[in-house]
Amino acid sequence: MQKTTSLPQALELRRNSRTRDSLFLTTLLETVRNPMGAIGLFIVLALVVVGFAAPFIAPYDPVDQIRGHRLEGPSMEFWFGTDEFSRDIFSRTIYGLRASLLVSIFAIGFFGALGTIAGFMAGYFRGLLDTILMRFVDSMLAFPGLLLAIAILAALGAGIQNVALAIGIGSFPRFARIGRAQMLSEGSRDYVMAARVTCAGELRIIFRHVAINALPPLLVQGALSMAGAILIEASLGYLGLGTEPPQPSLGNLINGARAHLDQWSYFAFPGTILALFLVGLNMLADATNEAMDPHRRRR
Amino acid sequence: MLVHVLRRLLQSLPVLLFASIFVFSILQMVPGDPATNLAGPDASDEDVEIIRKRLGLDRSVPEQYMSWVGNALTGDLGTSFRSSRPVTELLRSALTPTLELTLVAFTIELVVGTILGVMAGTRLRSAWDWGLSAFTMAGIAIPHFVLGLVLLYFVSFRLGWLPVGGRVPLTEDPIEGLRYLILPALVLGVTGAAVLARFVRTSIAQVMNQDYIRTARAKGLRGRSVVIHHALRNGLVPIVTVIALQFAALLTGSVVVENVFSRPGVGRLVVGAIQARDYPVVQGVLLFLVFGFIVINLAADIMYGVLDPRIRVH
Repeated sequence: MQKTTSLPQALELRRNSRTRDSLFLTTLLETVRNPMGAIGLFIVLALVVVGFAAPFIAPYDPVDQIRGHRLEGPSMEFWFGTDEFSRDIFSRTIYGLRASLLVSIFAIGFFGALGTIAGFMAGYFRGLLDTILMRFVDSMLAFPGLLLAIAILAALGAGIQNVALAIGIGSFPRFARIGRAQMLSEGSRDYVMAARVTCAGELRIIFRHVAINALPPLLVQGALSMAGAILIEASLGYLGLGTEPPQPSLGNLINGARAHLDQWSYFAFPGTILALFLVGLNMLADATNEAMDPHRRRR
Repeated sequence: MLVHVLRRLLQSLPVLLFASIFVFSILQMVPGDPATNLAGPDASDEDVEIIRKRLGLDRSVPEQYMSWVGNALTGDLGTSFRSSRPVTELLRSALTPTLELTLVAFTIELVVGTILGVMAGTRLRSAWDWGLSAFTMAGIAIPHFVLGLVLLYFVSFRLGWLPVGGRVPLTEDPIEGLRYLILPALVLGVTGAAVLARFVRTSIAQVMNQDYIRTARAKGLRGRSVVIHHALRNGLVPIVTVIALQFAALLTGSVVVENVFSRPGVGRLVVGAIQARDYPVVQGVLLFLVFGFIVINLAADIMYGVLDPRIRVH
């Protein structure tokens, strides 16, 4: 049979199908159109920029002790005041934010990808691999996130790398679950059958065909997990199991403030930044969820 | 029904097995040799060997696991390195304050969460509803320790109304005990209520659309009576599972809250044990908690089957 579509026509068709099919872009647009999503995105972006730019913004070195300025309130010189070792709380707060961000992004990014791939494999090949992996995932989900992280840190000891590992291992099962569910629902679609007919290899089907379509729910899970990761990171820091002093993290800063309640700015500023960041992340995740699933939009 | 219960019981066995292997392997994952670590840098080789023998580390790993699980099943979780007291004894004395805290928090959560959820669910898109959304968002996002410190600062430190931390047993002096208990319980209960209220709202909003609600209204029943006798009864069925899971969340939350308010309890026990590298205590407490979570999940599933027969037919 002869081809009847001209090249411009074909391009046009392709463009149309792209815009229609880009679930990711529509979700993003829908999210930002929702005021809650827009505010959430703004808060998160602003704090992410501040966190990553910490080395350029911070007026002092976060571990430097500035003689003669112990436990001072906020001033022009020290915006958030100083702590019991005469360190600048503003610098420590934004460096702490940076540490929380780096730990969470690494943990979710790396272990989320790992969990997703494991879930894809389980959903595609089924059988014994699937059973073992899912029982393993179930038993990990029996631990609440914070407790699992505490258990892992109990073994490995405190420290920033171990916190990332603990949070990452904790997020693995959720991604594995979603990856598997996506593979199960996408795997029986016609396009997978079509790919198989063209003799596409199994790995090619999994990664080139299914993975692309399974991406949006996984990204939402990523955003949701970020809020959880930041919260657990901060809680571990507060419990003294996270980043080791003198290096700052939002959690260990607030822990330090517990002993100096008379100095309000010590806990108020890091606490507000942490709470604000988490509220922003949750708003963003909520709006994305609503955008993805029209049934869940407010009635 | 029996089949449903038995199936769920069987399903939780492998979960329990994996979880126990995981908790057991904490000691195996410790970098370096645990016996050398415990003995400290000044210990002689003989001391290290004695510790190794005492911990049973000279045996093979599967052997160690079997004896650990066997002992745990008979209620022996080993002996604390730090205090040389049995772990079960430490656990028992820490459990009372924790249960005291979680039960009071649970009561606050149920009352506040249900009332707020019903208010919002029966008045969708009203100021109540938006207020609840904001409250839920704050309750989910703000960490326990931040909220705890804010309350501690204003109520205890500035106003001096309540003690800054510690505990007096409720059985000894109920009034003084409550003064120590109320802030931590509020932190846990109110944040939990935020989550619970959201579920109640959705569930009640769905029920309010049903025909039988319209019928009840058409009969001329007052709004409040419709909500209490008709909507609440049916609307709360799906909430039962959420409530069980929320109780598990309270137990986890208490780990942090106990540390904020310097209250003795399971959370303080486990964090202290980690810092002191007191592994038998860490393993014992974690095993106990995980076992507790599995039982709570199981109870929630079974209860759900009892309340809604459709779930049983899998």
